[in-house]
Amino acid sequence: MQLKSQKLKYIFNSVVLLFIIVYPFLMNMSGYWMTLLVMMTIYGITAVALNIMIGYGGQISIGHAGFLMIGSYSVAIIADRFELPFVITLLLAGIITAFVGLIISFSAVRLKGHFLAVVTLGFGISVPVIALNWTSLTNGYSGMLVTRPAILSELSLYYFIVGCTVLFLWFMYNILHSSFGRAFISIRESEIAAQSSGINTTFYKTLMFVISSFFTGMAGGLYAYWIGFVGPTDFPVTISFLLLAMIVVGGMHSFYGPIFGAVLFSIIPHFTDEFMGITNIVIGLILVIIILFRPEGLVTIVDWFKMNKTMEKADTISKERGS
Amino acid sequence: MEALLQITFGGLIFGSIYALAAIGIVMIYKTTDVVNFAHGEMAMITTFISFTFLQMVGLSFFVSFLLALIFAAIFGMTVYQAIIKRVQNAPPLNQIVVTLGLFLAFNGIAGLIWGYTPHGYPSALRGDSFQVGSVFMSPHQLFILGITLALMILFFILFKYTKIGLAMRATQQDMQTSSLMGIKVSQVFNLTWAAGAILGGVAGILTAPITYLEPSMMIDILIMGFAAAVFGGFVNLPGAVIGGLIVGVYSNWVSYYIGSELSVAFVFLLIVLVLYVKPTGLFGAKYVKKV
Amino acid sequence: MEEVFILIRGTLMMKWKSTYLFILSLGMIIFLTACGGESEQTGSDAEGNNSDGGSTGEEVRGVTDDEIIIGNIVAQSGPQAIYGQIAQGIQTYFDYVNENGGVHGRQLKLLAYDGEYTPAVEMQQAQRLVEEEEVFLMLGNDCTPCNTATKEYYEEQGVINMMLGSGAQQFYEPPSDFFFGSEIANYRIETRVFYDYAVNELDAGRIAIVYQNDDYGKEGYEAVEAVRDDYDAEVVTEVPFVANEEDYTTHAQKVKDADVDTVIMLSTPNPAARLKQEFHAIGLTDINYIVSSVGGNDTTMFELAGEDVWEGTYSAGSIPVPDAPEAEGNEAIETYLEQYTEAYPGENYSGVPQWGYAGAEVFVEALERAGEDLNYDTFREALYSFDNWTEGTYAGVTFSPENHYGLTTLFMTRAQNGTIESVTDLINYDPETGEINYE
Repeated sequence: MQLKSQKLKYIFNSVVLLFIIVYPFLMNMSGYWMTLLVMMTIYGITAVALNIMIGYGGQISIGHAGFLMIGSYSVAIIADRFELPFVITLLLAGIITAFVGLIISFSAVRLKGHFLAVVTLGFGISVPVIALNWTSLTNGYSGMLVTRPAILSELSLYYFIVGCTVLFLWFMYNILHSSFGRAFISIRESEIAAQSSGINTTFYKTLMFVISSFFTGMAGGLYAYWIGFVGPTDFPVTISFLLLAMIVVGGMHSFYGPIFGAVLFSIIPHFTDEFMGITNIVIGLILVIIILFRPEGLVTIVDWFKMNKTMEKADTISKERGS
Repeated sequence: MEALLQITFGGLIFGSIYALAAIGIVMIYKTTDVVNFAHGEMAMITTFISFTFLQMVGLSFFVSFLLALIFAAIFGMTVYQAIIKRVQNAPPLNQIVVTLGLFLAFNGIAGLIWGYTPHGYPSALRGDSFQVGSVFMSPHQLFILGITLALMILFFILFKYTKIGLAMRATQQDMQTSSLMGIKVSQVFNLTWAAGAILGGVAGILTAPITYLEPSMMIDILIMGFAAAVFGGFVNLPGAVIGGLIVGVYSNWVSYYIGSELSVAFVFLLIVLVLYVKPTGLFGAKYVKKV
Repeated sequence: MEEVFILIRGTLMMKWKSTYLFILSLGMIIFLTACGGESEQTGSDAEGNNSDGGSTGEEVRGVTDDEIIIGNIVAQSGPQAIYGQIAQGIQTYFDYVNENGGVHGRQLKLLAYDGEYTPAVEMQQAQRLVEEEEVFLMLGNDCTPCNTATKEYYEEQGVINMMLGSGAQQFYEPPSDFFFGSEIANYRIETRVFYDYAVNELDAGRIAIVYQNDDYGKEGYEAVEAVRDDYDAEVVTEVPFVANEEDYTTHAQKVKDADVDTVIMLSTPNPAARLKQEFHAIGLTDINYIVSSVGGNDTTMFELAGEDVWEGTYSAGSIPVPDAPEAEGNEAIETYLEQYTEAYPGENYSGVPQWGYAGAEVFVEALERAGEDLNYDTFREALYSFDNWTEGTYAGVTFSPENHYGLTTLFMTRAQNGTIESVTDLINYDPETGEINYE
């Protein structure tokens, strides 16, 4: 039974991956459709990274758009001033963002609930303000053009981004399924219990921040390369809100949930943009409706299909235990 | 020195508005355990409703003001009954995201109905500004200060000395026991949402003559209101008011002496520093984690 | 330290299934990146043929025998949603033209998408309109940083952008084959006219410049920096601000501290009205207040700031507001007012919607002139034939191969008697010589 569901999962993953690979050809090399998918991957990475903190660690952040912005600006600035291979640039963007995350975490690990929420919210609001005012570094309101690496055509950049996405998700998956993930979850369940069973909660909470901001920063870097421009209006605080929504709507107790959310919220504007001024209303209402009727997130719809099997399995297990 | 007094006074005015926004948020949070991100947008809609009474129907300022507050009370209760009630026992993040969804939806709906052109909004007290010492004051500014003060006192009395206030406080302490003691908990929740929406509506109506009436008018005010609430400890009503005033005055000082573009960043820097020293805010309760 | 070891072990000890997935995807990517590069080259070749807008005359993107598709991206939601009225203005004029039989038998179809005033979103919408909807050209796009971000894309794809909702220099200087004209006066030209007018006509001696700290406000600010030494006046203080600030008491105080006689305010409507209110609140009433046309040339300003407060404010315009005395008898303005109030009853009709409408007029006139055989070559030729065209609502539109500004004619206005009246004749700016000529 176990083997079968695992197999199904790999078939599913491979189909999705294959689809993404042939996607540009299916869409006739359309830049629009490629951008749509790239934005999904960028928000997908960010949502999963944010979910490390929220879903696994129980630490809220309403400022992740700030990390995205730092990552994108890092790429723009490094690419502008130094001639580094673009993979190194991207990695540096991740490291810089992780460093900022580390600094934020010094204050944040002491805080809980709404206090943490407001501090991270403040961070998310302040980053664009700083980007706007630090003109010598960021070129202020005018933003910066990002030169794409010369060796990459649009299509190969697309594959590079998809590849990075798979790689990042794979890393995060492994981190969460190592003893770290278990430590994060035990902090979420009860900080005091975690502490008394010998888990260094401060260390793990800091680590959550650093890992999450590292991947978010790289996602921001991918964004900068793809769009070719970064500016202080790119990631307003509403993006932070949307990221939260992606996690909750997708399902925060599953690794894949946030990806569902990211796909959903990236695709909605495609259908609503033709009608003036309704995009936000539709997004808002969908949010409310999904949470009222699927409080565990969209991912539960997938679980629902599996339910019978799981029930069977649970039954047999409990029977075995019982006997 | 003259300039310092003038900008401090200006800061107190905006501080009062932040305080009004903050006490609405704190009150709803204390009683129903929900952080309402749609608070500002509900206030904005209430303000538009009062504008409709004022402009389209042509009623006087105070009649429209009162009608709008009645609308706010019904609006608040409806939002609670129709939506918030269903997530009251859900994880906090679900609640936050629901109110964020309402925030987006209300903002968009207001844009559809009333458009995005800013409207001038009349103030209750018109008239030229006058000088007290070296400080210029306008009647509307004094009106804002007066209303904020009056509402603070009113809610203080309400909480301390009336039955409803007692029921609210009891519910805050322990919902289950309160309901066993014969307090109609759901009624208390209804009332709290009504009162919260009214406070928000007042903040909106006081803000509109200064920042003008448009769908996004309350977004930044709400964020500063949150900052003020956190300053005050998030569960403390007088703390929220003092937090609001501190945020208002401090951001004006930053704006004047350092640069207005950076004032938001400096406000949050101050909050980070305060929370670093005192993780539950200036007036917050000592945090006791239940095991 | 133990934790760090666990981290390393955790990442190294991957299950074989995920390894399989990983290697599979990596292999695929390397393979496809290699051949993707090639197919991209052929792709861009095909693009290259297209990029002159089909000068062969056979197939022109977005044009059929009975329809022309035009794209527009403006903010329709969020804090800048007021620019959605640009799309409304364009739609109004298109409806009017379509009712009267279209242009050379073709109906005009507008696709207006929400750009959210965000570069990434506008980029996405640009790709959608160009590659999916295949529009003939883009008309009236807003948001200077968004236009900066998408400029290269439009040039690569070979798509004309006309009557941009941005008066920033970079789109017109040096002239690009794909950028023609702005809906609003060029910021630099306008601010130079302000400075000139303040010193020569209003006898300004001590000037304060208050500017929105973005592409828009800074353009004008730099224009003043460039010419301030040529005049017998002093810029005594410069006060920047951000567009969505709530409190303007400190800005007003800074200006008061500097003891000036004239304030040049480069901003959008809200801050312009707010600042003047704050001036009045602290007793600063006897100064000249000059506001850029984006922020001042709109009768709703009286409603925002209060009639008595706004009275006397100077600004500039390139379109008369419908209520102004000089608009009386102006047929184009009267048609506009009729059409717009019918389409959007009860909504504000001065200011932003006029930009979209007037831009659409220029576009339609160019279509008329381009004739039945419409392609980018004939369209550009048609634009270059504009020499002080005055039949639309604009005061004058001129294009030439060297001049892609379009709007180089404006006039100074003053708020008086509840409306906005012009106080000068037309003022012309010559982009080639950089001279300002009063008619």
